[in-house]
Amino acid sequence: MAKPKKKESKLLLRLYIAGNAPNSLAAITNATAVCEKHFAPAYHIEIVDMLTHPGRALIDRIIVTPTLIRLFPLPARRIVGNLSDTHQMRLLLGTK
Amino acid sequence: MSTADTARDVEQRLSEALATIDALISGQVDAVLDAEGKSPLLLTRAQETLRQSEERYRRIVETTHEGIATLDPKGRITFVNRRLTEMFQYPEQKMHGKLLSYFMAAGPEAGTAVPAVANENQEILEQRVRYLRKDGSELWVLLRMSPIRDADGRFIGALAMLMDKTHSIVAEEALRKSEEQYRQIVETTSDGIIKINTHRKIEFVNRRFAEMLGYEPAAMIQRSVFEFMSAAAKRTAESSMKRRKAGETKAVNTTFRHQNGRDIAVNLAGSVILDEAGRYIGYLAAVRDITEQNKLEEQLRQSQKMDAVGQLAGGMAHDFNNLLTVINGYSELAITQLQPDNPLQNAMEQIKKAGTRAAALTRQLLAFSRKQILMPTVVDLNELISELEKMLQRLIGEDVLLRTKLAPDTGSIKADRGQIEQVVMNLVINARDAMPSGGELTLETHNVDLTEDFSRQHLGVSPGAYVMLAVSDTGVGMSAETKARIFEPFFTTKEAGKGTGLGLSTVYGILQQSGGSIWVYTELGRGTTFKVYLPHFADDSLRSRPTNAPRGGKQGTETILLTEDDEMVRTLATKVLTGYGYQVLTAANGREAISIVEHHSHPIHLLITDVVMPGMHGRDLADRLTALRPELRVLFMSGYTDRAIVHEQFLDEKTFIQKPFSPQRLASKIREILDEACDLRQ
Repeated sequence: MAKPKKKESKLLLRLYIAGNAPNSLAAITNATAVCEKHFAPAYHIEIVDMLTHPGRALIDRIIVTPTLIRLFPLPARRIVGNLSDTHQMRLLLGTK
Repeated sequence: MSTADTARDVEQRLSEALATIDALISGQVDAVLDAEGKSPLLLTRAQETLRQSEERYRRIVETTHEGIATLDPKGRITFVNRRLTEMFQYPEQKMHGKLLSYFMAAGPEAGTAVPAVANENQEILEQRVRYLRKDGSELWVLLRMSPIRDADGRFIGALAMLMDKTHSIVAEEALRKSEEQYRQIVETTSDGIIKINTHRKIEFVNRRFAEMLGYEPAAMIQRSVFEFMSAAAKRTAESSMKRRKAGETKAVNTTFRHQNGRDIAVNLAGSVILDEAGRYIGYLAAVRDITEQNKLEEQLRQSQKMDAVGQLAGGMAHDFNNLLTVINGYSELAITQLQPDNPLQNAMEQIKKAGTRAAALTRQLLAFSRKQILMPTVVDLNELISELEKMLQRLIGEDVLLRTKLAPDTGSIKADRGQIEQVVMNLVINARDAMPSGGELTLETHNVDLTEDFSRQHLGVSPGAYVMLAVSDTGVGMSAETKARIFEPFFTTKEAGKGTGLGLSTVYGILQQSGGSIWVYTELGRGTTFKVYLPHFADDSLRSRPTNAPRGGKQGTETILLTEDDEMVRTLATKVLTGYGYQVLTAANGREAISIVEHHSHPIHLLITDVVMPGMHGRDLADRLTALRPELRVLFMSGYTDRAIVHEQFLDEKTFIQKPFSPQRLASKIREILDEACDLRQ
């Protein structure tokens, strides 16, 4: 179960990536773009590189990258992939 | 956690797991973490690299100008690129599963047999293959095939690359055919062809040219053309090339030097070669061997010269004969009428001797001029030579060895026996004189068939069956200059007074008149061979027989009509005939003779007539008169006759006497004729 680090009202996301791998870079770009459009400035994305912090990925039960976790608002949700699927993104972020 | 919560949580995880699988499948995953989280496995880099690489290859395969196919180990097509379908004009699915050779054109030029698939260990490099497109047009390709192996090195098929070369190969084929055509023309023409560059170096010769000079074509390339010419020929060629450069196009006659050192006479028709820019880059020439042509022209010149000289000599001899008949006749009459102790007796003897020698000379002149009267019979040449052999042996002396090689089956000829004896003797004497310090003289006979080829090279000789007589000596031989003139009358290499210069001229004339020919082969210091060819005569019925010797005395009392246009001869003959006791009627021409016969009431036993007379010829006169008086006998006399008369051969040895004749000869001839007529009547 994901544990939010801060109890704030803004959108909190954590994105697990693998270095400069293409899907990882695409995921960063896609996530940032959606957040900037719909939530700026009330959002925060923490980007965790699984290659340098594999222990954290283990804690969050991450199997593959890229994986985006919505930490807040609860309940926590996650999507796998390069975040190019806008339908999935809308479900996760509750946007239209 | 409530049951509902738990259910939602499970549902949530399941949906996340599915999404993960989807992401994995769709290639959106970069890395996978193993259970311990120690070594994350990077996926995306490998995937992307592979994808990019595949994309790159796909693009290459689809955009390349070469047709590409992959084949299974049995050679069946498993993949073709778009270009290959365009090349073959078949859709991809029609090509799948077929062998490449299925599309190959038939015929030997389609290309050497291409294996269905590349050998496991060997590539096929650039093989030229002809396929047929769907529309039936031909498709020439350069085919390359290489084996494909899997990761373990197992042979799993082949990659074929086909480069469309139709355009260039068809053009190349056309060029090759056209070159082949030109090559054939150049190599089969009877002319030599030579191409030289501006440095006079030979760049090309055809086989004919090389053969003309006794070389292999390759041995002449890159050598200076002047290496194959004498200094004089080089000058001719240089000046001709200069003139040609100035625009002249006339062919020149010059020589090339054969490998054996001999010069070959040629006619050279050359032209300047220019490049596209009009700069001169060399010469091209057609070279015709004119040795044979020159030889024939020389033969023609010779024969024309001989004809002209012959006519002159013949004309003179005719007049001389009449004069000599008179001189000899009167000197003989004078001798018989002078007392033996008369001091003029010796003078008359000398006149008669000189006259006889002069007569012999005119006979030879006539022989040469071919205006002799020939009495052809069938002659066995071997027999003739055998009969002459003893006499010839005496003639040539002891220093010269006489050998005869007479082929037993040698055929007969039809000729005047006496004349052929003359030919043999003159040739033998000539051979003897060529060997002043002795040697070997060979007489050889055999049958020959003269071919068309021989006939082409020897002016005036028709092909056919001939009898050949060769007279060879081991003497001094002749230079080319001498050889060119030996048959001319009065041409002699002997010291003044030793030869008349008529021996070989006589031979020449006799043979010409007898339908034969004579050819000389000689080399200075190595001897000479004369080859005589006489037409073979198959019918033996005319074989010559010794003539009957005149019998009894020469006196007679019969009446003779003498027709002769030359008054001096007529007077002499009248004197001779009356001297022998005959009654003589004379006429100066045919008309007079007819008139006499018509008006003379007593028998006329014999007509003696000249053959060639103004107005009416002797033959016509004889015909007219024997029609009037069938019992009339005829004796013709002549110094010469036209060739036409000789060829008709109406003259018979028995009824003919040649001028100049002696009174005794005339008298015995008359008796022969009259006595035979008498025999017939009895």
